[in-house]
Amino acid sequence: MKVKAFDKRKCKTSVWLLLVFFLAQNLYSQEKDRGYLTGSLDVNANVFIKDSSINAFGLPQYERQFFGGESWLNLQYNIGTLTAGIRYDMFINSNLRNPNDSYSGQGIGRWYMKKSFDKLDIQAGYIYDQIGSGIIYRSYETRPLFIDNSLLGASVNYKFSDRFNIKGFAGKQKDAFDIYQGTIKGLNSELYNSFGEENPLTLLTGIGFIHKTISDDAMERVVNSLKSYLPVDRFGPVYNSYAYSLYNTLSYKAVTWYLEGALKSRDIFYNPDAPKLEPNGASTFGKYEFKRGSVLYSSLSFSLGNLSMTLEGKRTENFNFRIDPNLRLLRGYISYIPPMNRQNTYRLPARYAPFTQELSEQAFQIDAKYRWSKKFQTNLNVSAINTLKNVKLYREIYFENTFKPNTNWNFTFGVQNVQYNQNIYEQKPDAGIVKTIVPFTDILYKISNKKSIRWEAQYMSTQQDFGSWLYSLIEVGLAPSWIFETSIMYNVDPKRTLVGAIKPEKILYPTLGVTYSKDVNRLQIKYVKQVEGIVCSGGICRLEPAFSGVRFTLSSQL
Amino acid sequence: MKGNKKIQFIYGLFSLVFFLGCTETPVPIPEFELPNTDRVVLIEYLTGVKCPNCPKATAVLKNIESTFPGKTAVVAIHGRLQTEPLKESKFDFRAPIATQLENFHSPFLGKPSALLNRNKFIDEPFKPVDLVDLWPSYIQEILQQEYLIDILLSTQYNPTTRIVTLQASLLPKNTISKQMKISVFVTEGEIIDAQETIGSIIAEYKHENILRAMLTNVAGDDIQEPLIKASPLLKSYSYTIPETFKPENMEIVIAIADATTGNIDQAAKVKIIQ
Repeated sequence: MKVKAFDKRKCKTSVWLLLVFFLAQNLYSQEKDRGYLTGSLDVNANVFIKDSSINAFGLPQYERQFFGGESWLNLQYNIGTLTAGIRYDMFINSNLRNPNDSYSGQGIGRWYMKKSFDKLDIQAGYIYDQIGSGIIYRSYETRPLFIDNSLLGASVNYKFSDRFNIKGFAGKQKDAFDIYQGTIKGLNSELYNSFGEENPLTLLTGIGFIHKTISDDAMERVVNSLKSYLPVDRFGPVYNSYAYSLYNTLSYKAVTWYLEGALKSRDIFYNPDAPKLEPNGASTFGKYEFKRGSVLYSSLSFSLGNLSMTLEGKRTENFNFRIDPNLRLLRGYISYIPPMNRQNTYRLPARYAPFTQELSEQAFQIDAKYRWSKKFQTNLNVSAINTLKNVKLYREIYFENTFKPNTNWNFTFGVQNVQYNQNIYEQKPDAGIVKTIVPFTDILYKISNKKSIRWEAQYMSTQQDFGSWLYSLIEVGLAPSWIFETSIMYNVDPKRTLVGAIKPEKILYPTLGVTYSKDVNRLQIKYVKQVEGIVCSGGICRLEPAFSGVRFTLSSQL
Repeated sequence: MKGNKKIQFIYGLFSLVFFLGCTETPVPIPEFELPNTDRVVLIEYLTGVKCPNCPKATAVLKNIESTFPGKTAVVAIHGRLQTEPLKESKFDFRAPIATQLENFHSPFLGKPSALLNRNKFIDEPFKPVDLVDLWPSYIQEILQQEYLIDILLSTQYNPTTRIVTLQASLLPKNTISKQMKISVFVTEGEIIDAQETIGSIIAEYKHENILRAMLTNVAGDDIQEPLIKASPLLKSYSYTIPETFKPENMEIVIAIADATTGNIDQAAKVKIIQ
């Protein structure tokens, strides 16, 4: 059950009284320390211009709202060892929460207080934190994907010494301007070991524990659903589940090795691929399951002369760990499983990106950089992702060279080869494996100290999905304030017939923009036509529809 | 070594905590019992021929209809999303009224989704519920709640003019002072045509409960007459069935809603040819 409005008001009043009390006490006791206020403002505003030729229509924003946006005003006050902050969030006809719809809402998105007392740090409010690499617990914010799963609760960290601490926290997870009613409790301890100044070996060992209790409402829904299951698919659910993690970072000279193993006790989750027998005899896919889960993740980095390498491996099984088993998509995640592919930034190489499969995945990645000289460097990245049943999900070979002959010129060029299981990642039935080859280049020329010009060109060759693409961008920089850019993305060999068309059509997606920076303020306005595609952040992705319109962004440090 | 003892103690504590959860008794799953009620739940099913997960949802709907016999009325809305005909399609199930109704029910996370008596369930982001395994649970929840009005329906169909006349008798269980709305949907089923599913196209898929028309506003019409306990209120509607529709496969669904909350109080359905 959600917290009732009355209770929330009472709770907020108490919180503000507490905040005022803490601030007053600090102001009194530290009159000489006047404290300081910092903050930031981020604003996105979109004007939606309907364009049925690229499928940018049908959404409320295109049909009747025409304008949408979101903003975040963040203020933080520090005085002595006390920090207090508040964030005001506003969404108007926003397409962030659901890219296929419109969402409006506003209110206090976050408040918090932190105070240190000698070896003890305490924190209350909406808390961002993680254990290890986040596999059993990570509360964080990723605005482009509308992820903000901070913990509304309290956290205590006690430092026994410089090398050993223990931290405990408890609370409820945020859900936009509400909270989920399940509870999360956690413990985390880290121990740092150094073997003397002469021995460069260090160890940072951590142990973590998460206890989750689902709400009565969540359990009732699971039980009611299980009632309609045949005995073969039924199980006896429990309220509580536990996740444990043991991790270690070993550093020796230029070698760093991270290893983390995480286990989850039997927990209720929804598996969309699990076969289920319906009472009418039909066999369908998708049902609640009650199973243990595990993740094993390791990363090894080292450098040998001009060569530096990172090797990563990961195995994931049944690790869908959410505050409520009835939640789906990006909602209610407690865990965060690191991605196992390169985070590409160029437009076409970034077009097909895999998102972490928490129920069944095995993956490895190699990233190697070799510096041939001060002017020339090569980067090779290889990643492979399969399900535990060895179904191919993703392959990438990325090869990039950077050549900087002098201070005026910078050349980047390379090629990428991707195989992407669109059937599984996007649930598109006739898609299969998308295979692409993308040669790309990026050339920067500094005309003078204040003037520069940059050109990007990429070509994606593929017979699947939308077919082949050409992308080109020209960016002119007039330091310190102005950047002008124009780009085109052109479907040179189209394979997909869009709505309303009778055959695949060659479509141009242009962008025209200008960015102005002054002191701590950055403003950008862009006319954008953008094809449907995957938007990812740290391995968490979603499919977003085409966009047509004008985008305005403002970023300001206060 | 004092520090090491402290560390050992803390890690021992961790180990103890790790094994705390071993003793919880599982929640028993009671056998299913059909709620003793005359309430009928309106299921507005947001679907489309290009919705790959919809065949699974349709199977769950069939299961719901057999689990709760006579207690559900389904309207399948082929609105704006994932509804463009496939290249294998013989028919286009889209209709302006379906698009309007889908817009009226926005926002929703994706398809398949269903509105169950247009209730907003706790912890659901929107009124349409997109996790199909939750539908039976929510229907069970609704059937355990009280409702205000009983509905009796009858139809008369003239095959010459293809006009169907619906007689609806609304019988309030108590005098109702709040504003109520009435919605009337015309649906057609048993249409064999292509449907996308995960990994393939089903060429001969049976489409049911497709929304063809509404005989009221999208949001429903206000009931102007007083709703007095045990006094039946008669409402009549007529509809001319287009030549392309098969009346033997058609139904009329009626729903009464609370005008303030939008929640459906009671629904009913009747075949056009009984």
